Amino acid sequence: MYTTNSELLEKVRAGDESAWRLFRDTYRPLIYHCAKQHGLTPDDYPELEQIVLLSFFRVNPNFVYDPQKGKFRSYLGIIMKNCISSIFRHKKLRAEMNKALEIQEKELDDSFEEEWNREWKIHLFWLSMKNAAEQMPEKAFQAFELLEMKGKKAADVASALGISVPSVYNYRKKVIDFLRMNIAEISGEEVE
Amino acid sequence: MMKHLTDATIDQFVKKQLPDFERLSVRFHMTLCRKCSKRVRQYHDDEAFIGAYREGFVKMNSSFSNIQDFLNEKEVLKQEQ
Repeated sequence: MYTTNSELLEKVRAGDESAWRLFRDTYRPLIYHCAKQHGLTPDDYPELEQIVLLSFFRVNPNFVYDPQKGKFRSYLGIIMKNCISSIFRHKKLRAEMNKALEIQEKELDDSFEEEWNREWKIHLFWLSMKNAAEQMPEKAFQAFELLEMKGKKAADVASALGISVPSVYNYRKKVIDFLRMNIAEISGEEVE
Repeated sequence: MMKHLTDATIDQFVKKQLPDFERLSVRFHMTLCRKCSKRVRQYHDDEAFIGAYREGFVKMNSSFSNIQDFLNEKEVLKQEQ
């Protein structure tokens, strides 16, 4: 079942442990990838993940996300940026104003928003791929993944999966249609 | 009766994997056959849709699995100590 961000946040706030895990698993790849893109080291990723997730509720334990005030994407983006900045600041203190870190923090200010919007789109696609893997017939998803994501030839995909070449293309089309609809659905359900 | 293009040919045409001569013959066929011309346009649309995500998705997946490996290794080392 698809859960909108506001429903999920509400469950997390209510202390639902499985919602908390789903919330973490849903945003972990996006957080890690964004951390990497902005020059944090792998040692920092778990720390970033925790402070980002906790930031939703730390400021105010009775926090309720208000969709009227803006998009969830922008809201999470602001939290990400602040948390990455905060890690840079702590590192800077530790490294006694290391020059290289100052430059990285400056670059974060200049480029964050554009990159964040790009990463967010990839994140939506990633979620739709996950939904396709769960909801489409196994062979359909495998055929699509091998052909389009792994660059295999249709004939090789057909023989690996024991299906005909036209079936490979039929499955490809079905998965693409699913992804288009699912991305539109997720974007539509994204709290505005 | 005119033979329609196969999906495999359209795939190779859109992905620019056909030799020049075959590419020309596909284009020629498209001028005569509205149905195939429409199928090629649709394939172009789908390819543009997937292409916009492909690189970022592969990158995100690979950096996520590298990071997971790194963290798992670290966890194993911690437990061994």
